[in-house]
Amino acid sequence: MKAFADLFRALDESNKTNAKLEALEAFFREASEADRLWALGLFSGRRPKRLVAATKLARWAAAEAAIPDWLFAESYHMTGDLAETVSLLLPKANAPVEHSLTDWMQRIQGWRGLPEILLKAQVKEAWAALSDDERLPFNKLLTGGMRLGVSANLAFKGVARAESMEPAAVMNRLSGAWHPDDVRWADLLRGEVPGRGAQPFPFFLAHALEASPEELPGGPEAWFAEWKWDGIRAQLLHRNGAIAVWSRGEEEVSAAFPEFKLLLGRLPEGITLDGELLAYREGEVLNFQNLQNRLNRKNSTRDLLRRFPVILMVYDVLEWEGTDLRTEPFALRRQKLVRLMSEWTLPGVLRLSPELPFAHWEALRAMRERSREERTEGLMLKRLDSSYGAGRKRGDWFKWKVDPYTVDAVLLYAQRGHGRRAGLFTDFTFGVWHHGQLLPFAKAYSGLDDAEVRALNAWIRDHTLSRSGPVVMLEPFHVFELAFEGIARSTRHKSGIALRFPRIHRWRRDKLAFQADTLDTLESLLKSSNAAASQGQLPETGDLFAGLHDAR
Amino acid sequence: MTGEGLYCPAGDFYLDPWRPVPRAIITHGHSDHARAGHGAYLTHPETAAILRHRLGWGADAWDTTTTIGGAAAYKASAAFRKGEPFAKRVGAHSPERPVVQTLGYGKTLTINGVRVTFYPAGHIPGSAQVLVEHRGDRWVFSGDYYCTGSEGALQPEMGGRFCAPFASVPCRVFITESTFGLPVYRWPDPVGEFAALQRWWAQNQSEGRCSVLIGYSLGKAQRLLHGLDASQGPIYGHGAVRTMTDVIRGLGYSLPELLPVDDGDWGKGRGGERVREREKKFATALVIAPPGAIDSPWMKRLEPYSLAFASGWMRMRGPRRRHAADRGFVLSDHADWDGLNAAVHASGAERVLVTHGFAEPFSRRLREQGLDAAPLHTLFEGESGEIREGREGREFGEGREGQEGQETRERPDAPQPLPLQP
Repeated sequence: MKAFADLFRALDESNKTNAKLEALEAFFREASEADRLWALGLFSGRRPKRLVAATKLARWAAAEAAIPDWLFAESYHMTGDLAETVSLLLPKANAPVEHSLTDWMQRIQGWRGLPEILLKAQVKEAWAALSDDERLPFNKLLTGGMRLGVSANLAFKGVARAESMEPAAVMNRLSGAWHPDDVRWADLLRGEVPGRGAQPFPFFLAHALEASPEELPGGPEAWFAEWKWDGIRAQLLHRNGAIAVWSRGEEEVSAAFPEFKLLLGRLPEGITLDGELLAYREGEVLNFQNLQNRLNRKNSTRDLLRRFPVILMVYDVLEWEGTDLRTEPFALRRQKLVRLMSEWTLPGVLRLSPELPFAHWEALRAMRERSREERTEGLMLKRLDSSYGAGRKRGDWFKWKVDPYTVDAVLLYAQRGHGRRAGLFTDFTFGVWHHGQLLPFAKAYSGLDDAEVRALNAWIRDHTLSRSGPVVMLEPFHVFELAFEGIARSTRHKSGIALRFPRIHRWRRDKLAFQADTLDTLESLLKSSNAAASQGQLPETGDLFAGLHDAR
Repeated sequence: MTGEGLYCPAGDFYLDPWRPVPRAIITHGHSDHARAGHGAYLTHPETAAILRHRLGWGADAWDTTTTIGGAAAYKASAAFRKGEPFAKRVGAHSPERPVVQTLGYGKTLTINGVRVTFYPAGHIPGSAQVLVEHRGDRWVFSGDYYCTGSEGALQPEMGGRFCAPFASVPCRVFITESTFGLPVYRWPDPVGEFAALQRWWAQNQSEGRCSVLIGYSLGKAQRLLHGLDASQGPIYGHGAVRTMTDVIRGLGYSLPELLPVDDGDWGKGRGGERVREREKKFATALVIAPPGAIDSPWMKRLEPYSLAFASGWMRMRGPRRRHAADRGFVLSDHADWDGLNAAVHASGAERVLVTHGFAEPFSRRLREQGLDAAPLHTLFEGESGEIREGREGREFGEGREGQEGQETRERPDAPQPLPLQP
């Protein structure tokens, strides 16, 4: 696994895309075909599910390193990554034995379902056989946390270079369902993989609109507008007599959404639709949290289907009568889609994302103001003559999101972060005033730049009131403006509310703690943000004083 | 412990104090340990030379005839405490021109009945551990030190010898640093790290790129210079690195030549010809620069370059990525986890006081092993002033050299029992 460990390290260490691409190209040129398949599998999200629970792995590693569990925990808080902590703590490898990536992957697959005592013996034996550099990727495989610091797209580009192929062609052939155990490298690249019938196309993604729409080329008449739906991007395929639903992560989610089986026999064959999965009832889009109740389920009970009905809000057709339409202009695809939706009698699980006609940008701007009432995240702008590309291409599709909600909150607790900022305090808990006390209500991890993180860390060193495990309690002093996308009632939080995507918007150095907002501010936001929010609950964001947990 | 620093009441002197005091024993020349403004200094001769450069002492600061416990210094300190002008009482001496006395390794000086002996700490040239003896009791203050451990045995040197290696000193109370006091900080073989460094340089040469290596200008830079194979190409140094290297060379250390980056031959226009010439000049070169030089206009001149850090913090991926380094080499002049443990156990101390770094977990671990250990709060920063984010504006402690007097952002410390009370 040495070559793969070197690639892992190269990708991890460099922050330059070109250097990463070169490392990928070199790997895909030199590795065995089986190793290429496995590596590509890992790059494109086909990583094995977690084999060992974090706490177990931590305990085993602490025992190997002959240190107590609390010292492992201290080390973990500084490192910010479980697999890395384990790798750093294990005794130095004395006589590593080289096995290929494929060997290791096959072994690891074979360990699934082993009783703990046998699994532990296997893992310990593996640690002894691995070199220091190989242990990190190996541990990442065990914890199911293998992320390689590059997008699947870049990996595809690396393959394309190594194989002297077009990146788009590589991407087309490598998306969708295949498993390194079942295919051969050459077949995969030639597109000759049996049973490739029900694969989605690579998703075309939009860029955020950074300037004003007035600066877009062509003027209003060159653009199409619709709501930006707040659900899960998905493609629905009807091929070979079967309906399949794929989410943007290129994961098949058909089993979780059985309602789409209703389309069998009612939707023409050889079709691929692109749209958004939404929880939807009686003409109204429900909060995102309703949809979450339906995710990650192998089968859905009738009760779930009834309580959280889901539809696909369709906005594009990519394949029609077995013909790939992606190079056709958007306007034409839209025309076909409208025809399909009106000419075929389709069950309610498919709905057409309505066009938002506008004569000038000012009218659209007014429309955007209504996004929240419509339970959307803002607007999508698509150039009428654009083809359906692959990945994120600038200039054709834009998302024009509505401004987030904001609230001024006081920093109360801090915890050390992960990844690039491991070892620094970057995980913060905030509070608002309620009856003269500060009530914790939100955690936020992002939004500060490096200089702000440094300054805040220096301040934290001198203003810590107490420490509880990895969490430090701070003097209530600094005020931050938090931005968030949604707000809902929650019985699981002391404050009674839960925020969607909270992040730090601004450090309000101009404000003192007593000038922060109150719980009443949030309550009134909650009221205005619609009664539908009361259905279901947002998931718990995690115990404030949780010890070990997997890196995000 | 007082607000000024670690204090020995019997001898009436301080160890590495962070506020001006009458009499200070200084373990080594880094700015978090050796500050300006004390009345009298006792330190190793090499540290004295470093401080003379760093703190801008004039030639008349040297007064090796004045014993630190002598009458002149005592009078001076009393006057200083009362706030009277120092110079008035003792003529030549003032905080700008302090009394400086030196003490070699293994040499002893008796101050007010307290015996003080210096032993090498292996951290940087001149770095010393201080043995304090009084009525048969033995205390050792480690300052910063380098050693590592292997199967319980203490390894005092990093590959080849650079400065005097760490010496273990038996004592009852050991006051140790803990900059890298977590078991995740274990140094890989320095020979291997230097080999990797050399390979990185060669790779950059083959791609026509300058190799910029970041390391603190006092100690680290010279240790790197000492370990590098200079036959691979020209080695350049940032101004701060070059002057400090000259000081160290003046102490008798033999180090490869460091060329000046700025030879006055550029900046006269950004013409293509000139840029090409410059690129050619640095294409095969390795440049040693302090952390403060990162993202400075000075660095721009070296483009295109690959950036690497040499530091114990490079052991982890987080700091490597945070500093946008192309490479990180795990080369530290501090003891790693194994080294700290080996040093504590070798000292035979029954009481261990743990200063700057991971004082809490390290002392807890020692308590579990049956030692009487406790954290001791200080304002030392270890290697933190170098790479790790620490006190505001001091992430890269460099670039402030020669401005010691301004580095007095302090906080009041809670009074603690005097640890050096025998």
